[in-house]
Amino acid sequence: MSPSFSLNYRNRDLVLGALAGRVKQPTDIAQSEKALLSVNEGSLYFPIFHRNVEVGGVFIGLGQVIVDAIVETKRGAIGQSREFLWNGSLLMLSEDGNWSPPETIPVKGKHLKEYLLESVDEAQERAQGIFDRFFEHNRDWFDETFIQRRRGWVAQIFDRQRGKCALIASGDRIVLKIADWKVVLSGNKLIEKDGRKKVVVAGRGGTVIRLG
Amino acid sequence: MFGRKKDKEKEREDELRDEMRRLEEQMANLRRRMEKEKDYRREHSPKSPKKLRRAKGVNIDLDDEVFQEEMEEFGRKMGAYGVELGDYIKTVVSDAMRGANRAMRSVFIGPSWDPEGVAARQVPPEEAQRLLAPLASEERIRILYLLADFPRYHQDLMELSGLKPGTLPHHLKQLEDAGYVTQERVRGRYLITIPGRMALKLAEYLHNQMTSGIGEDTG
Repeated sequence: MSPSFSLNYRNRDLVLGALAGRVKQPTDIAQSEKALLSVNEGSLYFPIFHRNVEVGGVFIGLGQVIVDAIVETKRGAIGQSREFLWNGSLLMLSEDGNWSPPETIPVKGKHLKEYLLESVDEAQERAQGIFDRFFEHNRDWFDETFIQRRRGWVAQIFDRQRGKCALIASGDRIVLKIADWKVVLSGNKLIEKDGRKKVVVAGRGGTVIRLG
Repeated sequence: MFGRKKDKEKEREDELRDEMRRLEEQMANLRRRMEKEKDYRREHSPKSPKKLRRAKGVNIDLDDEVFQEEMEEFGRKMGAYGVELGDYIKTVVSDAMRGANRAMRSVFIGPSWDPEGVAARQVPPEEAQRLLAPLASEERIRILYLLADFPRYHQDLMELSGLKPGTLPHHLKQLEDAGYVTQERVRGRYLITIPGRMALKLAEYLHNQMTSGIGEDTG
């Protein structure tokens, strides 16, 4: 597989590598205090490099997202913890030096067919499309928020059932959108919108405002 | 002429004396009724006689119609001796009753007391049971107190509560299902929720009310 799929985005020097293989076993690829992202065995893995350092990857397959959108206040904890299974693709970017690539095994034709792919080239094209679309739509935000501050990790999931989902996590902070569930959480502050229901929590003092 | 007037005065005096005697008898009856009611409540109190504190006052149902009628009758009879005195007594009794009612209601039921009992019926019994049943366990209350200090991991809770590995998850599930406790899926810690803290406050409130002697003789 030639590295001809590499692309440069201005000064970001981020490139998508060639298909590395299938994930050997269920692996937690990113974890913070409040969120955990995992991929199932058999998912296809394409590494992402930043100046020749592996900083993330594109996965085609299945996995799990666990989010603790819970804050502790003086009056007690509020919020909810949720688990989702995703089925589709995932783009994951971590901090430099803080990325542990999953262990992989070789890919055969029958494995590609599980994801309705005919060849490795087609798989690579699909991964490239995910990679391109992500930076096309998030270029400014990604440059200012992620590259310059260099903290936390970001994941974008294209789930067949829930559509596009996004999760940014760093320490005890989270920004996420999974279907109708939107959460901004930082320390003891939580803003949560779940469909029509809204919950706003401000400060450790435990001010709770519920709308809807 | 003078003798007839004297006889009339004597007659009037006798009548008054008889009236006073009847009133005294009525008062004695009333006192006996109060004592009987007091004994009845003491016997039917859910607490053991050893723990029962002596009531400071007499148990009177101030809304009892018979009692009110008797008091009004008492006032009317006293009024026979002079309109001013009767009115005065009626006013004093009526004010005292209103004040006592207010005081008792504020002590036992609180300022938002609902005379029709509508508020009390707004929580369906099955819902009240769902909320209160998980609290009827010494172990679960202990778990809530442990979590009220800090969020804790399963292992910490097991060590601090002294509960066995098979028992602790059962209690935690009950508390979680009722919404008093929540668990972080990523780190695995258990946290007390806002309703959980409210439940502890409720227990504390009831304890304070009971141990201060209020509510023991309310029937």
